[in-house]
Amino acid sequence: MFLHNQKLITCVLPKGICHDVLKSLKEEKGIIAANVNTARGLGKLTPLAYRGVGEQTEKELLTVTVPGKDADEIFEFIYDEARIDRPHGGLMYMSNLDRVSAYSLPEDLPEEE
Amino acid sequence: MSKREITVLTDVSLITCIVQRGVADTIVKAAQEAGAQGATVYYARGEGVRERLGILALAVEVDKEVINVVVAKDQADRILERMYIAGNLDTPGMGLIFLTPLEKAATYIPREIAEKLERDEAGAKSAPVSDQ
Repeated sequence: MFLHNQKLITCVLPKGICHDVLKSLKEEKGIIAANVNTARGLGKLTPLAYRGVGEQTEKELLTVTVPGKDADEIFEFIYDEARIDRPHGGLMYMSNLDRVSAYSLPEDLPEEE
Repeated sequence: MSKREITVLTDVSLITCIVQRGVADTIVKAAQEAGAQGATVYYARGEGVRERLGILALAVEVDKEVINVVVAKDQADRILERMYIAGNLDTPGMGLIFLTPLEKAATYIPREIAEKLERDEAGAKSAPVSDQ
């Protein structure tokens, strides 16, 4: 019923990137246990802070549960796909999970447009 | 397979704080003053003991703000306490805060800072170990 040795990867990304990352995760890694929230980022180093407009930017919060044995590989995959390694590219982190329920979708589900 | 080397941060923790809507900015400001670099805030809906708190259960907002702050482990206690005080979390119904250890984190690290970290790490390894 529950999966053990799972990890939670969370990414705080600039708005507009998450959909592509989700698509890559599904197509290349077969991962569908993911969720996206919208959020606002407050920081000392947001792009707008430099222009004196304010210190908030729109963000997307991506959360993915992954098996522990694949976690490092998927962490690096998301790092590359989301292009974290650039100024204002966002932040990602990984934490341990005690138990995770298995998640699957019906087989005859049509693709999203 | 990794396309390039990733500098990951290991001694990091996540502070999560759930408060009534409109309070987050004050708490984030306190966190930043205590040393946090930034925060992510999103909305949620809270349910539970709220129905038994406040005047006719109306004084406690159902709309919540969730604050996520990633901090260095050595700063975590101080920032957690400052956020707790700023949010008046010792008052019933104001919200809650918790600290989660993170396995690793990654973000953009400017080259000069990455080089400095490498130098510090190399220096720590080569430093003579005291017998005392």
